[in-house]
Amino acid sequence: MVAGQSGSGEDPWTRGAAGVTVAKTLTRSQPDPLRRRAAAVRWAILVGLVVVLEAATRTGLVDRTLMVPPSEILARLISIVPTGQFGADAVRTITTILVAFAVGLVLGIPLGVVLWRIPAAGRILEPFIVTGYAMPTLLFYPVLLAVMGLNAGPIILIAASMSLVPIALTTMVALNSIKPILHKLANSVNASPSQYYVKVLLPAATPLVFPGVKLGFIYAVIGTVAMEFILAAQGIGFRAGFYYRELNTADMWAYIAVVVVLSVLVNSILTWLEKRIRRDML
Amino acid sequence: MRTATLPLFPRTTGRTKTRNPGTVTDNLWRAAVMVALLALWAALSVLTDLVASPAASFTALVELFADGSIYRHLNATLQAVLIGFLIAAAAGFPLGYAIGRSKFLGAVFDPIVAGAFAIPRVIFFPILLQVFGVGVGAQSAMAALAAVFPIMVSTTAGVRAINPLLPKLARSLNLSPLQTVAKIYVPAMAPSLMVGIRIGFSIAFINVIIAEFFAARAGLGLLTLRAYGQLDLPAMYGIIVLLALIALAGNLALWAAERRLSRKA
Repeated sequence: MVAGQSGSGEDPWTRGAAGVTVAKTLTRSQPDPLRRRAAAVRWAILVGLVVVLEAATRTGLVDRTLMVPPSEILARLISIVPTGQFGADAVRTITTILVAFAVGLVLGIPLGVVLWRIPAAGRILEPFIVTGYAMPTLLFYPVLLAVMGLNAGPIILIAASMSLVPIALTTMVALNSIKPILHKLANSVNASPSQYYVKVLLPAATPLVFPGVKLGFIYAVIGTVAMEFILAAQGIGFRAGFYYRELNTADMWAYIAVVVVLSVLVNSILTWLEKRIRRDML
Repeated sequence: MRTATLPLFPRTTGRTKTRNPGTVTDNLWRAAVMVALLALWAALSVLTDLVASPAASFTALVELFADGSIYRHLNATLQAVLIGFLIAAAAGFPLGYAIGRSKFLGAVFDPIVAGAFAIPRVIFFPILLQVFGVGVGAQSAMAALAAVFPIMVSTTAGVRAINPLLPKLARSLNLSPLQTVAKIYVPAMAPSLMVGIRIGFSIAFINVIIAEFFAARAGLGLLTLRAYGQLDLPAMYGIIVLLALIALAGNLALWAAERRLSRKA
């Protein structure tokens, strides 16, 4: 919750750079027993889940056509990952995600800025953009396929449109919640428009915009894999759907595992980045 | 700043505190935007054969309703969205609440929920198909699986953003746990619960359509693909408009409720 963050956090004026470093060294010198215990429990749950699945599939409680034992998935993964086909699929999926996210970012941020600069436009268009969350842009997939062909183009367009919405919305909300004193400050030091944007708005808005950017990236991943899953010629999502239709449960699960690992990895990297960004902001 | 580890939804409401007098003009402008979109569509249909004209599409849609062939599909889609959403809400709100209330549960499950949120859940649709068979069951399960994590995330964030005085008030009034939840937490969290409902609805809706594209017996997604397969473009655009209108109407209703609640809060 962007509004909640700015509201519930400490007063930015008392939370100087020095305060942050002190807090950081404090937490580092005394490891949090709660967190450590929680991490232990978390891993126990995850490992327990894998063990239960392994037992259930080995004993035939879960049918082999539904799921193969996790150990077998791992074995399939080890033989699949070095193949050229996997490499091509992975490269295709990752480039699609990155291009879609880049398009979403390049269009979403300026859109957010425009919606903030022209409050009337923001007010009028807000319901439409909010509906963007539910708008099944993917319905146009057949049309886009007809226009652009069975390549990455339609997928990029749809994933970009999904990733654009949270980016534009958080940009608008973040710019709206910047402290009025910063605008006055920029005014009183006679900042040029470019200085105003780069030196005042950018650093002040970044920590608030980042959750939206993160969500945008996650949506780009989800959109790309989902579209590949429905209809594509290549890509990790396509391969999972393909092996389902081939009734090859082991390989399908191997690709599902790849998707799960990829998205969890992306999420972890973004969370880590989010903490980095927050550290050097006022 | 523990909430920062979870993907957050931009809260769009609560920003305009003053009731602006220009609501009527705003709505007029919104209507103008709709008309402009329609004009753009008409212009595109003149330019390319791949886009059917608005008139033809609406006629095709009306025809689908007139001969009654659409109702089976409309029912299947709406049923799947509704059932899936209800299951997701029944599971997501209590779980999200528990994770938000307890520091320990939060520390255990935050990373798991955030990770699960980032996974494209459609990828599990083949397994749901094998469990539930092709039909509304699999579509509902897909919607539930997709919507449960966003609902959990926004509920958790809502619990954590609550004014710390309120739980203290509950304690000093000697409220029972049930009273604390019903009289203190739910009213205070109402705006973020509405965010969860809106996002949950949206995601359930999108995922039902995706699932219908993949495999279904009935549903508007299936009907769209079928119309495309038969190159019946007016019918296809008609159904797309219908789906967009459902999404728009549902979203606007929930969004309006969200605004009203956060204005009250």
